[in-house]
Amino acid sequence: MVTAHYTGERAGNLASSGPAVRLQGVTVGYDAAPVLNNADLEIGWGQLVGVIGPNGAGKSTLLKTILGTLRPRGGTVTIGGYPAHTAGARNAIGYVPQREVVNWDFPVTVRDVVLMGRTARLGLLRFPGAADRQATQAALERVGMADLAGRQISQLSGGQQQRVFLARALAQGGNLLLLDEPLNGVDVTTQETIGALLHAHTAGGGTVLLATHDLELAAEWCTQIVLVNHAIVACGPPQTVLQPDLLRAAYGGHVLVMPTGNADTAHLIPDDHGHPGGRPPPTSRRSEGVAP
Amino acid sequence: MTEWLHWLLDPLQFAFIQRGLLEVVLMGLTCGLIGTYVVLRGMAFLGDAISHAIFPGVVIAFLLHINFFVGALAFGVLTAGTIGGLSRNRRVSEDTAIGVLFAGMFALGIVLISTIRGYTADLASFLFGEILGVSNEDVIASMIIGLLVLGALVLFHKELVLVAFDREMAEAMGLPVWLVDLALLILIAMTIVVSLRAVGNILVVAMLVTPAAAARLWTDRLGVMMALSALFGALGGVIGVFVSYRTDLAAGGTIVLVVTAWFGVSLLIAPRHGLLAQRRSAARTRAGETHA
Repeated sequence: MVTAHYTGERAGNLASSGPAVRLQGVTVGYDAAPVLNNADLEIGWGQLVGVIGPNGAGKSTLLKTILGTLRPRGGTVTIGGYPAHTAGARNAIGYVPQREVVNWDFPVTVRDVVLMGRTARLGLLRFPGAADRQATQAALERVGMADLAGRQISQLSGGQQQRVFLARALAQGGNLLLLDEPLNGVDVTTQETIGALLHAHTAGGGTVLLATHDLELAAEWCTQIVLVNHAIVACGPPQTVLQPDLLRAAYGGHVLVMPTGNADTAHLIPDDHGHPGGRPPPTSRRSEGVAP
Repeated sequence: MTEWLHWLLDPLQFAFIQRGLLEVVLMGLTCGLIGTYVVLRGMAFLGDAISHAIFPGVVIAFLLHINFFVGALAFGVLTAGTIGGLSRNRRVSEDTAIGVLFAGMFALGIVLISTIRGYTADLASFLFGEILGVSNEDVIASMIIGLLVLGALVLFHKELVLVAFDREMAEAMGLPVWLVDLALLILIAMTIVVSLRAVGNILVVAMLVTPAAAARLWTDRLGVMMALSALFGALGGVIGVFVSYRTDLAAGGTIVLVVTAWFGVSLLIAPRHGLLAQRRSAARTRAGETHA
């Protein structure tokens, strides 16, 4: 029965029985043209992983496959050794969706939203208790939103909304954090808060998967880069993946390769094709100032 | 003063008025609570459709001389299930599925009732309610159904809220989202059945939507919104019954006009979300700009 996955069982937090994420021969998408084709991927614990690639290349699809909301047509996905769609896999994950997917006019407070992160752990017919409230408070403090806990969520800036989402993911209590474009349209303070938190999370043995358009930032933050274009084009440390030929292969001719003084990595910016249409461009300082 | 008290208290000595008042209070509370979800999830059309589709069930119960709650509940649950099932099929949009179903079912009810000689009086009482004609069994049935709805809303509160606020997260947590949707549809159908005697098939959507929409204007808290919505619904019902008894106007229509008028007042004077408050805050902003 469907509800079998939603048992609220408290799975062990440190999934030592397998790598953070393992995909073997995974194909996802509708009939004719799969969004992801025959993807193999293995990501260990303690990694901060940037998922990059052009629009529609399958970044979100990859995250949702790992998350378990998209079921692959073929292949296997395991999270910390647990097959995706099992309670063990789900309890190992904290998820930050794109900010556009929720109704921000909903009459709930910041604290209510973060407490929602505990829903799956609680399971059916159980009400949040002291432990859940503590986890919520701790998560709010880590993202610097404890002062605004009583605010209705529409009264927040974009950056604050993103931090609430991150707090909810932390309250979920999983060691694998999945973030879908968390830096779109956020202020510099939020970007720095998120960066510090993600680094702390990986330092503590957790793993982060971060879909982003900001190649500059990916190069600076990440220990590993996954380059996606309807398949896994490349996966490895930034200096091996962020290479002009690989990027040109994934992004087509739409990448400007900028020479810089930094010998480690080429600094790159995708042109407009790399940014989602209609959305405001990132307000981060990094989105400008890339040109030499 | 005493005249006014007489106006208010005299009707209470009649058992049919007492039953009617109890019935509208039950209706107002149940509709107000479930209506919060109808408003927040934008399900007004769906609620309207279910109430129309219940009509043939009421007629069949009448023809077979069984309690109308049985027929209405059976058709309500059947309709909720059919809409829930149809909308999972991507070939028929939910909007279309609802449109086809509710008109078709309503037509079936009309055809069935036309088999009764001189059916117009019965038709009117089904379509527009007959609050002062409710029996003790009607009140008891409403009480039982109302308690079941209330119990479900309390027990599945966190699941209902999460699915309404952030569907993707609910899926990611392994919640059986379609089952939550179906449960909500069935709760709405049960609520409509409670309301039939008071306001009838056609006007019930007003009790589902209007008190909750007014409540949303007064608060940014979900719990407060539910409480206010239930209060507005019950109060509107009581005031409507008194006014209609004293003025000899149609009870169902009067009740709906009372809550509609209250929505209009709320739209005007509610703090923060009301038109006056918004005009004041806009004026303050302008004044602030000129001073700066």
